[in-house]
Amino acid sequence: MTHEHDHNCKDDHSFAILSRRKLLQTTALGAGWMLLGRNGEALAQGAPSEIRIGGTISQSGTFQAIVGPFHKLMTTWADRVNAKGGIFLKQYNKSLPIKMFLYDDKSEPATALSFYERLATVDKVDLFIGPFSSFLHNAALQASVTHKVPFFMTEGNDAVLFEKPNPWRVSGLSRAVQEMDKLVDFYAERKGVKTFAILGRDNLHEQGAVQGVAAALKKRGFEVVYQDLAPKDIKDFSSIVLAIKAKNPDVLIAESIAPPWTIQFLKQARELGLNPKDVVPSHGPVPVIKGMGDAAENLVSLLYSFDGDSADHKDFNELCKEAGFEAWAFSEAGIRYRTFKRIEDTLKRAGSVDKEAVRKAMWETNIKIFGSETMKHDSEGYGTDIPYPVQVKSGKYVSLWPISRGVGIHKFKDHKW
Amino acid sequence: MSATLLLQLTINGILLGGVYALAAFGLSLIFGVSGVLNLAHGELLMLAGFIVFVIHDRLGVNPFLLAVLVAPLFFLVGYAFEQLLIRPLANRKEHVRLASATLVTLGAALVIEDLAAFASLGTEFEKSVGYFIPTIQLGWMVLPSLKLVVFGLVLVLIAILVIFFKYTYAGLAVRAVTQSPRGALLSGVNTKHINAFAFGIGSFLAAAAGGLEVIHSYVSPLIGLPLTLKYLCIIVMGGLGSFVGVALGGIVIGLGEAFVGYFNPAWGQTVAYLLLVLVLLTRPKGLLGR
Repeated sequence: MTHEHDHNCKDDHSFAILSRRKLLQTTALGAGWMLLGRNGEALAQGAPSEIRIGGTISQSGTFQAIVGPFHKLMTTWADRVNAKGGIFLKQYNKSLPIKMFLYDDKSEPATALSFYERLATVDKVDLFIGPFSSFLHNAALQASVTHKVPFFMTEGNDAVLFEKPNPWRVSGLSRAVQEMDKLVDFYAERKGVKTFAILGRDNLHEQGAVQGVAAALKKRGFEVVYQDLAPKDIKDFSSIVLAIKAKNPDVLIAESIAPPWTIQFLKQARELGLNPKDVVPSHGPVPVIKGMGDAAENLVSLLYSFDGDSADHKDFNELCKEAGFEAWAFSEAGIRYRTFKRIEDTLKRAGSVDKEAVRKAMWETNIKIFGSETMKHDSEGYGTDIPYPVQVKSGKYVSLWPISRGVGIHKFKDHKW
Repeated sequence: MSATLLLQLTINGILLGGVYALAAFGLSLIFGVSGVLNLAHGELLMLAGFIVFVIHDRLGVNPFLLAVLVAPLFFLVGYAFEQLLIRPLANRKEHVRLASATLVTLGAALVIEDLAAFASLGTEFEKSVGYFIPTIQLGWMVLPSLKLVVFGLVLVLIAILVIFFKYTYAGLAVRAVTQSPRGALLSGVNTKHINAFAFGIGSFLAAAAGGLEVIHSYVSPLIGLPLTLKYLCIIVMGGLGSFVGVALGGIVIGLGEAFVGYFNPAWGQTVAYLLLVLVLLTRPKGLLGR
């Protein structure tokens, strides 16, 4: 009994030791499983706690009027993604929230580049989102090559940006020369105009866009009676207006991504009695409408979105509203929205924030958006986004797309402005 | 080119040149009296334009009225500018004084430019008063009413200046210092005060031009130095020290920009410098320089 007891005692003791050992082992195994099992892979590979996305947006300077509210648009998008739990990345087997790093580039290339350098070296972002315009992209893109950070271009599509192969960048936009293809299609269908005058701001993006629309118009049988570029810092347009007036065009196209330039030109054109059938400030966000006052009625412009009832339309409209503006008010908002969708899709497919994996995935984008569009990139890195024609009605833009609908809505500017 | 178009371009050029001349008068006056090239002249113009814009934007006050009210304040700004920044250099050797003073004005220009840019952070830099007056149509020709009003105000200011310089003691003293500082001093003119006075009048004219600029065009923090260079072209082209020459220089450059810009918008902006070279090659002392 004693023995037995002893035995039992010994057994009990051994059991106790074993139990303790087992307990320790179990705890260790449990902890190990916790660390190396479900999340172990992540830990082993240094799983990040967030997806770090960085870029600049012009909160000051010439471009403020065209993209000022996009700072809020981007942070709102990140908040909405995070509210849904973030983006699931397979490699870490979990969803990660987005953390945005945004700076004001003051519409200056040198400032933009310095912030992209900072984003790569100090903020250590996983990917870049582009600034506004080809002008700023041209500077900012250098950081993508230097630091090998995937660069999701936004409003940048001038040919200069694609001259040198750069595997770290892709654009959502199609070529700058194609920017007004849908506008030309519209006028071809609309009929009633024959001659066009085109004045562009002498700047990277506008140079390509002016050449492109002139070529597209000629191809469709229209006559381009005036085509020129005016300096970025011009203050007096009177001679240009007179030169255009002498040609008596049916349609006047003002191609400029700088709203103050556009407003000055159109104001002076109006003042000097230039009165074509249609006036097209091809980039005409709400500050241009406000700047033109009553004369804005029936101006034609371009918008990177169109009316529709797809889930993306609903999502886009809600996002803009949450960011504090209506979707029609800022023509380039649609480009940003598509960029957000490209980023989400790329990260999901890459399953990681590894820069090489993201880089590869971003080139393979092929997604449906807004019901009818397909977003993808060609071998040079161009995308597929082309804007749609719109017209100012009672102080806000109304979509002229699809063309069959637009022809019924469109009115020539039949009053003195 | 038709006769009507020729006339229209001529009118546009003169209207443009008139505004150039107004600001250039101020620069010429300061240079003539003190010998200092005030590189902050364009910045003062810009600053006045900004003030007119901000008050108009916030309170909706008529911009023409604001331009008239703001410009005299800049007389005090100019006076203080000379007293605080230029006067302390007065006892240095002449060539050192002139070089130092010019550098001081350059520094002031950069500071004003940066402050204006800083104040504009979070907004677009280009500020313009959305003012429109229906145009006057004469057959094919159109007279831009807004520019005509601006030009009219320029003419009124120039007329006041002429009366001031011809019939007032202060004006005569300024002219005396311009012709011979030593002679004026011996005649009992307080030349130190006149220097500051000239800075005041010059700044007043720059501010008046700035107020009008923001009405018919726009101002931005970065326009100051390029404008100063253009005004410098005008006064050198017209002939240093000649007020009629400044008016002529302004009109020549306005016409040059109007005609060249008709054929080529890009060259329209550069023509001022080409005209200056051309004039200096043929008349080294300027169009009316002696």
